[in-house]
Amino acid sequence: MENLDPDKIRSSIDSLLKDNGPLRAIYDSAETVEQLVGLTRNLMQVVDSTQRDLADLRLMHESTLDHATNVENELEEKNARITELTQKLRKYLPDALYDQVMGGRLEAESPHQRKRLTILFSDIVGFTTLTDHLEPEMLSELLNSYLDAMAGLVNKWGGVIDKFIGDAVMVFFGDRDGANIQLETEKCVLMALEMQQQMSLLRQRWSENGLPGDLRMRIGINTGYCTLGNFGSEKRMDYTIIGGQVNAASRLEHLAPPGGILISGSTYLLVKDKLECLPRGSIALKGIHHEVDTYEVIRQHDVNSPCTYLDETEHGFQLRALHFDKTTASRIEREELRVACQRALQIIESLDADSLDSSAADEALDPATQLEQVREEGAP
Amino acid sequence: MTLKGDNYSVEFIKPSNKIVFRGVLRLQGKEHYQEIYDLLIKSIALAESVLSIDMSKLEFLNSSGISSLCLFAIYLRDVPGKRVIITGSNSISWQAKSLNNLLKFTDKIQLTLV
Repeated sequence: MENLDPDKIRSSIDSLLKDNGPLRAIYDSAETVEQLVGLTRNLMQVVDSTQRDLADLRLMHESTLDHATNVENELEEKNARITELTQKLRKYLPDALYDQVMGGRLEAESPHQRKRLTILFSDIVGFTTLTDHLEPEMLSELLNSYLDAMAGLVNKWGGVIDKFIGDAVMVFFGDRDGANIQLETEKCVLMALEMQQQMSLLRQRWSENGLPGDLRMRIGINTGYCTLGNFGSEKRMDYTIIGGQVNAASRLEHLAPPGGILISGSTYLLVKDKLECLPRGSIALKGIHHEVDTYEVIRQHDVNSPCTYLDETEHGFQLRALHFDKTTASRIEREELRVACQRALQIIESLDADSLDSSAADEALDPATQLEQVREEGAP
Repeated sequence: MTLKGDNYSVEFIKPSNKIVFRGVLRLQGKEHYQEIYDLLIKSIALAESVLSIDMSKLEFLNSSGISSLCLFAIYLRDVPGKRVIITGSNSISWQAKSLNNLLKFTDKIQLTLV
């Protein structure tokens, strides 16, 4: 150690520590070589310790990053799973309920609300009797193919399947936010027509497969204010509708002819421009104070025709079959007939306007005499 | 001795030299984990040669939590004559991956996944 040149050591330290003022000051305080060596030993210990700490910090950093990445990946996997499940859930839940659940509004919103809805009930005539005669496998095939087809149509037309009760299906329309009840009701009744068409195809298929091919479906539809919301117990809730209007739809379904669609007057008013219906009299329904007019849906109107009983054509018009019973005809039906007849007369009179104008005397004659006179004249 | 939070508990069972973590641990920052870290330090001091840490019921641990466990592993390195056996769960995916990293700090930790 005596052979070491203190000046050389200081010179080396100066060049090493030129940018480290505090450490330089410590070295400057050393007066002997021994003190310099001691300081260097201490410094090396500090460096060793710092390097170990740095290695630990690096390891901690990597471990924490690893963990964060693991948790993020797990989160992503769970998010993907939740998305997949919610997409599946969407098929089973009404839109409004789905939005409430996913938007976290289920607790905040009032559990029940009143809404004007159109309710459809359908069932297969004699199905209960059939269950006693058919093998369970055949019954299952029949019921599943039927419900599958009907559920597909409800999905296509944008309705909400409230529930399946054996072979019965309960559907409602008009629950969407901002829904137009007229459009929703039209969709509901058009869907009912397609359901009956679908039933014909199913009957054919069932017959080919040795299943009963003579089954008929009844459909009842009503429109009115219902109480909509979650009903049930704490552990099991159903998003459903209740009220007298729902019962009325069910009752209409029971009264519908096999293969037919029976709708109430309130539904009829919303669809009469789009669908041809025949009046089927008024009925008293429990829970509804006045008698309810009923109509049987026949078919969709010619879209160019403005009247229920009249289809205008290029060369004139065609009156549809009229079944007028003055004891049962409702005001709506009478009005429909009046409009159809007036329109028919307008078309006829427009052709004969000249000849009618030329004979003032004709105006004094009653319609039957006028008709006889025209026939006698042999006018075209 | 038991520490309890909204969704978690950390219990030291002295007779069986065991700490049991339960629930979901998502405290914010290292300072909020100080109490749990102190319990670990105290437990290793009170435990006989081996301290068991059961994490198999801990569903979630955030990054601050894993950092605190890393610090405990570093501390354990300098505690003479003590070892730790950590039990994790294979069905909680983060545990198999993240708890394994604790072994890098010291050979005094043994990991068992059940």
